Formats: sequence, structure tokens, C-alpha cells
Amino acid sequence: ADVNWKMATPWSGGPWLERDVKGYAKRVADLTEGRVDITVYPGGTLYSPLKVTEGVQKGVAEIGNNWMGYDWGIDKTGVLFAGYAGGLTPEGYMLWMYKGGGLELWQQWRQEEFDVISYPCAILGTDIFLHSTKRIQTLEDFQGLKLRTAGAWADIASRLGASTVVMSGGEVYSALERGIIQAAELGTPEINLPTGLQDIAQYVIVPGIQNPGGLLECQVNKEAWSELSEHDQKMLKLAGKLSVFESWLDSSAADLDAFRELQEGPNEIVELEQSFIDEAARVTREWAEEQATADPWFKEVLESQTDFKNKLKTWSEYRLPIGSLAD
Amino acid sequence: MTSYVAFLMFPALLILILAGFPIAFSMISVALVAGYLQFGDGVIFQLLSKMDDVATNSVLAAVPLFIFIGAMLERSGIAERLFDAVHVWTRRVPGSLGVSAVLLGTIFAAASGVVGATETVIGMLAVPIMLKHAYDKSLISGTICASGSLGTVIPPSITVIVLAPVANVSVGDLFAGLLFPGLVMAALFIAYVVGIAMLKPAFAPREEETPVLSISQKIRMTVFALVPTMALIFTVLGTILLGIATPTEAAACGAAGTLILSLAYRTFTWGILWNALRRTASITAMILLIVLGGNMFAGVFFASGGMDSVQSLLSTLGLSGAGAVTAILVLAFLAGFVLDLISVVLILIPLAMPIVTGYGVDPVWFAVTFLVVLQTSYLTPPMAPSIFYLRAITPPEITLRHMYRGVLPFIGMQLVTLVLVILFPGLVLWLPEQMSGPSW
Amino acid sequence: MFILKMAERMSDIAGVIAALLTIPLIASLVYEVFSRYVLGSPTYWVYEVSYMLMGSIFALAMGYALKIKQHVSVDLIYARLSARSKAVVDVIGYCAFGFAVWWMTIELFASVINAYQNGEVTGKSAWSPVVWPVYTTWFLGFFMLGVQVIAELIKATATLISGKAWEGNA
Ligand code: NA
Ligand code: NA
Repeated sequence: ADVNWKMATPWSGGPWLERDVKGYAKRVADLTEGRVDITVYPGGTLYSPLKVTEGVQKGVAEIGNNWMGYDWGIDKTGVLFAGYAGGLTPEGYMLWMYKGGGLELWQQWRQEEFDVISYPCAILGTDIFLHSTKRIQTLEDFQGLKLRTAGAWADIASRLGASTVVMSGGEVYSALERGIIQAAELGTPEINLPTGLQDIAQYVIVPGIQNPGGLLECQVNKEAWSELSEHDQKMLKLAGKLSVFESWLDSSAADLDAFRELQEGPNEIVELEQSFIDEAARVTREWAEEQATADPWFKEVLESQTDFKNKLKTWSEYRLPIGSLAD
Repeated sequence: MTSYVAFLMFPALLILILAGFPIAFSMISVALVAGYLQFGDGVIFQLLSKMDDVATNSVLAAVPLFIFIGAMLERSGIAERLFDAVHVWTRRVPGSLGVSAVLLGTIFAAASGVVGATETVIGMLAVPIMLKHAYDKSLISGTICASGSLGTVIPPSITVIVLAPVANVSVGDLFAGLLFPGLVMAALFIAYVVGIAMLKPAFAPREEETPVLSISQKIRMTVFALVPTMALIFTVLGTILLGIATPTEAAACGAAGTLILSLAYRTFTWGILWNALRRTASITAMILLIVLGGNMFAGVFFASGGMDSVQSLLSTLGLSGAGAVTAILVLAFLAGFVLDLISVVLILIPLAMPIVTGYGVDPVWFAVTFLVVLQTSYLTPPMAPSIFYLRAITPPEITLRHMYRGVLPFIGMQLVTLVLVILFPGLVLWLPEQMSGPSW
Repeated sequence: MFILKMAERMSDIAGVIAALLTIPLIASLVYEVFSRYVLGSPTYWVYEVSYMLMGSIFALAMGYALKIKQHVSVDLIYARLSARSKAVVDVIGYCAFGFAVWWMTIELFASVINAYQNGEVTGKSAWSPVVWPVYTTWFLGFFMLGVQVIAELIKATATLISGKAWEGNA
């Protein structure tokens, strides 16, 4: 290989690491005919898993895979791309990115504020709302719920009336099992199933309004990027786009299987009432507008995303929803 | 060239440490030099990002809290009362103080997953009393190190929670799978202590010269010394097990409880409190600096090509079946010498699991075996975190030599457990099978 | 020596602050449990305060721990060395380690300034306080450790020259 790159990630394991990120590295090797060799490092083995961006900026890793929400403390704009309660579904994100001007904003923002080359390289499905020991269906059920969550949703869920508890990821399982918390959110069906949360909490609450979809990014150190030929630079971005598509296929198929397993198991699946979903959307809008007043980038990206969301409204008028043609 | 730097890190570290330079300092120095050769100025970001990980890890808040409990109970004389009260009843049991220490270790292991914290608190409670009763110094060291190391295998444990999703097994199954091996280990430790006390009474002398107490005196002593302290310990454990508090919160309640207890016994003085606080600060700094140094060393080692080398070593060995499993376990044992346990898990487990399950080995069984091996590594000299932590809290009359000699028989007990786990996989797999399915 | 006295005094003071921080650590976590069960709602701040206090105790006590020789070493060989040979080990070790510590100290200072100017927040909870105060305690901790390393280096150098073990308190 002409260049050997280290790739930092926040993931300690699971399909995001093993399938999506390693799949990306493999695709890069194929498309550059072996000229770019990427070794993927599990989260925290190179440096702190929450500082992928800073490490890429400083060249400790030449390339990184990241969920932009982890840069929250420095810049909140990332959640609009990475996925949050007011975001888009996976299909919506793909359209906004590649056909709705999302990608240009994404790259410009990353370049200007963080000085890294960045592009999408995996898509995330819709999360499960909660694994809960208490049945949650209405906003009333949600009041005072001892809920472990993080990031933007911690703020929004508190405004909706939950008692959000903050604790480190390592403590969640034992805390839910022993009743310190009543509910926890984590990720998609495929991600949640191996953690066994369904064995200690009876109710599985859907849909995942706190995270309807999202994107992972690949980011490259500028100096390392400039060492590539123009052709190989194109191939790295193309590999990213292919990975978005591949990860949509893989994660959607895996989520279908995982959710079916949950349905056929002993858990009760509970669907949130529409009134809850509407109220959550309203509070989320309020929250996002507050952020936008403080940050011009957040404002610009939010406007683009909101416009595109409104454009997508007609979708259901001419297309049948996925799954509607079943017997 | 890169892996060449990575592999020079080990001899360099060993030389510095054997020359007598502090362990944490040695790890940080070697990490800096090797990282600088590899990344230039970027190394400093890498090292400081580990500071960020360690110094903002809320789970580690249990470390100062447990140390404070230990220091308070020791300095205020409560620990001594507690052990005296136990001793009154168990005097006829050979090695009773050692047995109590192992039991205490098991109990604290069930309360917390932070290994160094478990060990320091038991050490502070038991070492001075065992010394006073003229226990053999090697036996004291071994008992404390071994009991302290139970924290990794007896649930809950952070290592397990990190390992489970990476290995694609459920946390519940893994906790259930670890329970019996953990208890077997504790039982073997007790058996060893009792055995040695019977064979060599000089190692664990029974106290004969004190006057024989009447039953009412015994009961009085128990009610005053044993009951309140046990109540304190069970308050800490109970709040965790009943889901009232997280281990860290419960440790804080326990710390507040020790203050109240010392006031109730009228042994509280500002001097004792101040002394306990200062010990808390310095021992916390010492333990967490080793944790930090291990993290820094591991990060640079892996980034300098160590990860590639370890991984290609595994694949080029081209072993199959039992050979592959053995090779992975040996690598884990060696890696556990210097690297922090969680890094070892993250690097080896993703590689190991496909190989292991490919040969039809049960993933839960393998994960449990892996953890038992890691724990043995934690106990095995020359690079044994368990011994380094003990060093910080024992008086100088217990030397490193005592400690190295003392842990050997307990490593033997660990290996017996390992053999049992390998010969009787049911020891691991029975409980998860019984408990499979929902717990609600 | 005046410099040594100053260095060790500073380590002591940092150690005193670290020791005292244990009290608010205990109090805040106990309050969290009280708030959750008696007042019926978890606090929004204890989680972050608890790790900040833990990190500060750790950082601020590093130099103090060095001063009182709390940092553990394997002295099987070291204990048998002559005073001068011990000094050789110490001088080499503390030069390398001192370099690492001072470099991190300078870099942490830059982080403090950077975090202050950018208004960086922790992003770990809905509270999400600014991070520069925490970085400042880490910076101070490494600074104190660096000062104490220099003190140890002076002692070891003196021993190297004189061949006699360092006596007395500074
Ligand atoms: Na444990
Ligand atoms: Na070891």
C-alpha cells in the first residue's frame, strides 16, 4: 500500500465497528486497488473514544469514524446531521444529504469549524424508544419516569416530564436490573438485542422518536488527505457513499430480524400514542429554535433540514409506505 | 519498523520498573518516548485524552470513597473491634482472620466492580489486625491480594459489561456464568487459608493467652462491635442490591455511615478524620495514576503497531480448536501483565470470538474462562496490579518479597478454578441456562 | 534549600485541598440518594460534580503522593543498590518522567485557555457545565507534580555528586 492509515472510532464492538466501519476500510482498499490501507482501532484503544475529531485534527489517527453528536460540548450543530429527536428517518437523511443540499453544508461546516475533510459513511436506523420496567404509552405515563439517557434527548425528555438520570454506560444494565432507573434507551433493535436489556425490562416502547435516524461520518486529517491523488480522494468519498447504501441495507435487514425476535419473545411491545409523539415534536422544535438563536451554523443547517422535512410531507401522497403491501 | 517500536516498549518498561522507578511513572515515561518516535507531537494529545477518560470516569469515584471507608474504620479502631468480635466466635477455626478477610472480599466484590478499591478497603481493614495476631506476612499479602482480585469475576464488574456486547453475549448470562466460578475461587481461597493454618499453625496463630470470655460477655461484645459495623456494611450492600443506589452512591453512604459510627463509638477525633482524608487523597492519586499509566501505555502500544502484531500473531499461528483457544488465553494472560484489562478485552475478544465460536465453543463459557485468566494475570508477578495496590497500604515490614511469595499459592487456586471450569463447563453454563429468559 | 522547601510546601497545600475535596464528594452523592428517595427527583448536577471532584482529588494529590513516597515501585533490586546507584536510577527516571509531566502541564494550560475562550461545555448531562474549571484543576495537579519531580531530581543529583543519601527534610 502507498499509505497506511490508522482509523479511530468511538465503537468498542458490534455491527457499527465490525460491519460498517471495517466494511468501509475494505471498500477503500478495493476502490484504490490497495493503495490506501486502513487499520480500524476499536474505541478507546488509540485515544479517548469521545475525542475522535480532535485526534484526527492532530493527526494521531489519519482517519476517523465518528458520531457527530459526540462533539456536542464544542459544537451542537453536529446533532442535526448525526441524528436527534427532530431529525429525519434514514431514507429522509439520504435524500437530504445527496439531493437536498445537506452534504454541502456538512462538509463546509466541518471544514470551517474543525478543519477536517468529512463525508457520510454509514446510516443509522430508527432506535427503540425505551426498554422500560414501566408501561409507557401516554405523556402522563412519562411523568417522573426515572430514565437514563444522554445528549440532546436528556434535555428534551426532562422538559417532557421525565426524571432523567445521568450515569456512565457501564452502569446502565445493573441500574436497570436493580431498579435505580426504570427505563433506558440505547439504539436500534439490532444494537439492543445483544445487550439483554429485554431480559430485565418487560416493556419495549416504540417508535424511537428520540432518534428516528442518523448518519456516521468519516473524517480525514487535512495533511493526510493532501497526500492522496485526486483519484484516490474521489474513491474515498465514493466508498463513503457506497457504505451509506450498504449500511442501510444491512442494518435495515438486521433490524427487521431483531425486532421480529423481540415481538415473538415474551416482551410486550407498546406503541406510543400519537398525542405523545406530537407533544415531543413540539418541545423538540422549541429546543432546536433555542439552539439556533445562539449559533449561526446551527440555524443555517436547521433551516435546510426543516425545509427538506416539509418537502418530504408529500411522500405519502404518492408512495405506499414500506410494508403496506403485505398480506 | 512500527511494531519494532511497540515491542521495545515491554523490555524498556521492565528495565525501568525492575530498576526501582515508580511503576506509574515508568509506564508514562515509556509511553511518551515510544509515542513520540511514532507520532511526534501528536503523542501528547493521545496521552492527555487518557487523562480525560480516567479523570472524568464517574465509576472511579468509588475509589476515594472505598479508601475513605477503609481508612476511617481502621483509624477509629472500629475495624479492630469488628475483627475482635468475629474472632471471639471463630477463634477455634484455624486461620479465622484470613477466612474473614476472604469473606469480606467476596462481599465487597459483590458490591463493586472497581478492583483496586475493593482490595484497598479490605487491606486497610484486615492487614493491621492480622499483623497484630502475628499472621505470616506472606499469608497476609496473598490473602488480601486474592480477595481483592475477586472484584473482576464476582458480578457486577465493569470489565464484564464492556466485554459482553463485544463478545455478543448477554450481560445477564455472563454474570450468571461467573457466579459459580467466583464462589468456587472464594471457597478455594478459604480452604487454602484453613489448610495452611492447620498444617503450619505458626502462619496463622490462634490466640490462646487472652482470658476466656463468658457467653454473656461474648454476646455483649458482639452486639456492640459486630452488629453496628455489619449493619453499616449491609447498608452499603443492601442499597446496591435493592436498587436504591448505584455502587458509587452506596459507597458515599457507607463513607457517611463510618463517620456516624465513629461518633457513636465516641472514637471520633478531628485528627482521625484528617488522617483518613489525607490517606484517601494520596492513595487515590497512587491508584489512579497506575490506572492512567496503564491506559497511556496500552494506547501507545496498540497505536505503534502492537494491535496489528498481536492480531497477525494469532492468525499466522493457524491453530485450530483447543490450540487456538489456548493461544488466545495465553495471549490474554501475557497482555494482562501490563495493559489495562478493558483494552485487552477490546483488542482480543473481537478476534477471538469468531475463531472460538467457529469451533463450536460456547461463547459464554469462553468469555468466563477469558475473565478468569485475566484475573489470574492481575495477581501474577512481576507485573501484578494487585500487589502494587497492596503495597500502598501496608506498613513497610511487609516487603515485596512477602507479597510475591504470598500470592503464589493463591495463583495455584486460580489455576485449579481454571481447570475446573475447563473440565466441567457446567460450572459456568448451568446457571445461565436456568436463568435464561426474562427476569421480570 | 529554599527551592526544595517551597516545592514541598506547595505539594502539601495541594494535598490538603485534595483531601478536603473528599468531604463534598461524599456529601454530594449522599444528597443525590436523599433527593431521589425523599424529595422524589434525581438531581441534575451530582453526576458531573462527582466525577469532577474525583478527578480533582486524583490530580491535586499526585505531587503530594510523590512527596510522601506513596507511588509504588518494585524495589527488590533498588533496595540493595548503593546511594549513588539509586541516584543514577532516580536522575534518569525523573528526567524522562519530568519531561512528560511538564509537556503535559504546558499542553493542559493551552487546553484551559482554549476551553475558556470557546466556552466548551462537558456535554455529559442536561446541565453540561463549562469544562475549563475542571481542566484548571488538572493543570494545577500536573504542575504540582512537575514541581515535586524537580525537587526529587535536585535531591537525586545532590546524592549523585556527594555519594550520600539525602538527609532531613529539604
Ligand atoms: Na464485582
Ligand atoms: Na500480572
